[in-house]
Amino acid sequence: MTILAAEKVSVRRKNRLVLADVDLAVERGELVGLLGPNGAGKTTLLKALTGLLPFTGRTVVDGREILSLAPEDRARRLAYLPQTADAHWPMPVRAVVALGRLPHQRRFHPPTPADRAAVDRAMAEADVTGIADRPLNSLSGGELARVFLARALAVEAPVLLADEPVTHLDPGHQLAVLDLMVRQAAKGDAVVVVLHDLTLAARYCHRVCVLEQGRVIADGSPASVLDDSLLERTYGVRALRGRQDGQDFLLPWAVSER
Amino acid sequence: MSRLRLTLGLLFLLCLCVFLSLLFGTAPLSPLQVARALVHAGDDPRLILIIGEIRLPRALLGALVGASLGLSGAVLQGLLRNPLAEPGLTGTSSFAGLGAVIALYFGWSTVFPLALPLSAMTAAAIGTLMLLLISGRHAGTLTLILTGVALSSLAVALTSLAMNLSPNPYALSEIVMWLLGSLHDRSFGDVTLALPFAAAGWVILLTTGRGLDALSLGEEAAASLGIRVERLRITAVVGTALTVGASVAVAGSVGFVGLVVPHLLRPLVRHQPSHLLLPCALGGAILVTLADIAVRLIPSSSELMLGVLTSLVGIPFFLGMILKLQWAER
Repeated sequence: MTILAAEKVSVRRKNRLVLADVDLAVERGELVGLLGPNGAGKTTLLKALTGLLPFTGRTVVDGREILSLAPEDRARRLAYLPQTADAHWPMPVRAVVALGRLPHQRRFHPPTPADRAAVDRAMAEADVTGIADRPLNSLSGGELARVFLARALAVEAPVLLADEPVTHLDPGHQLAVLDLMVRQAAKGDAVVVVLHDLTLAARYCHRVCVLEQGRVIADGSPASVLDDSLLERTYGVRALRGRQDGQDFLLPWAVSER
Repeated sequence: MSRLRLTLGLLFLLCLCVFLSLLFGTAPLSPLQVARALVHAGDDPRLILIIGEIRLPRALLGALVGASLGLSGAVLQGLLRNPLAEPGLTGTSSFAGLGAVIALYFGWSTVFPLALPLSAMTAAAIGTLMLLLISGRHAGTLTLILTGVALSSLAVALTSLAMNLSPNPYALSEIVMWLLGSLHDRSFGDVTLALPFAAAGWVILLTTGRGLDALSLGEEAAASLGIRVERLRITAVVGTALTVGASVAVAGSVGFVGLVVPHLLRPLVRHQPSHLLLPCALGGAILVTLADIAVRLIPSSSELMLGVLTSLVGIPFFLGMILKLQWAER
């Protein structure tokens, strides 16, 4: 069942078409990788879906037009993890993760037990329970990335939009974050994740959608989309392919000759 | 320390400071005399007059001004995500001062007493709006300071122009003394003039906590959490204009309170912007009350001006913070 959809979404910035008639439909339980070279419009698409920038076309969540929703309603349905997640004050980890509960909390009301439980779950999922009390300025880059991921998970929205959540992580945590996204999808959430790592995308995503110069040039299962010709056209690379633990994998191996 | 304990502790300290403030003045009074005069139980009507008509309004105004400056500092810092944002440094106070001087200069305030605070608040709102427009959405330290310098200079230049063109020397000295910031010779009339506006500003500013918390994640993350960022910004401008305008209208310019107080209290609330608001209002009130006691106690030929004292204490503090930020940015 489709929970999130973009229909003919276009974004124009300074007379340049950053997104051109993009269609995307994501079902419950689906982990969709958004791929494409730098400047292809991946971040712009996520922002348009979150309602953060003006666009033409239509975006729908849960059968309702996203822009027609009140900001709190929208926030409860779409959790957004920006690419450059940051916090400007050295608050303790738990307080930062708890910000994810804001859309659920009424003004001037203390957090409910349900809020606290959601924060605990999110911290456990993102593996930051052990550092719950540490101030942000004492954390490493990898720890910070997981804290902000936990913040997005704490919203417990049916849709998670994550912009390059693994870019600054070491390999172990990259795998852990994608395992986590697979689990979120298995729970019935829709997860859209911007990735640059083709190996991770091919291995974990149920579906990949490739953008190039603001257009969707391919959309389908990783095996069907990430073939040699697309890798060469879009990324200019040649891939090594193999099979491990019963799964196909691909590894960008060399810059293609042409 | 729990938030409730911190708030209650500060509240207790504030009450203590306000009471202390009643003890000091031209005539030394004992705590017992003050307490009796406060409940109108004394047998000396002069005491009741001194306490009720001279010292109490002064103490209350000190608390009012301090609470306004501390709170608006905490909100501006949360909004701009910069610990150096403060009504004095951002030019808001200078603009409020300009507004007040205009009201004084044209004699509006003699015709219509509310003209002074209204003019100060309008100018403060203009100053804050200009700050937000020029320094942009996420003000870096340098941009913020430069914008503040430019706006302050503009306000000061226009104020100087008014003084330059001032028709009589008496009006001139009145403006100068008043710009230095003082709570000397204030009456209950000043309290009733400022309190409604300041209190409205406090209420408005105290509603920004939730938005400021979300804003610490950046504007886009805050918006994705359902915060109406534009509305938050307007709320902060209106609240700042009301509180700072009302303060400046009754006390002139008292600088650095909004810088020092949030900085001291922030570690005690573990840096969460929303938890900082009420403590900063109380802390600011304590600081200004104490400073106003100090200007009465420090021996000098004429009474030291309150604004001069807070600046003398605040500037080294400010320089220290700049050095620390420079160090951190390296």
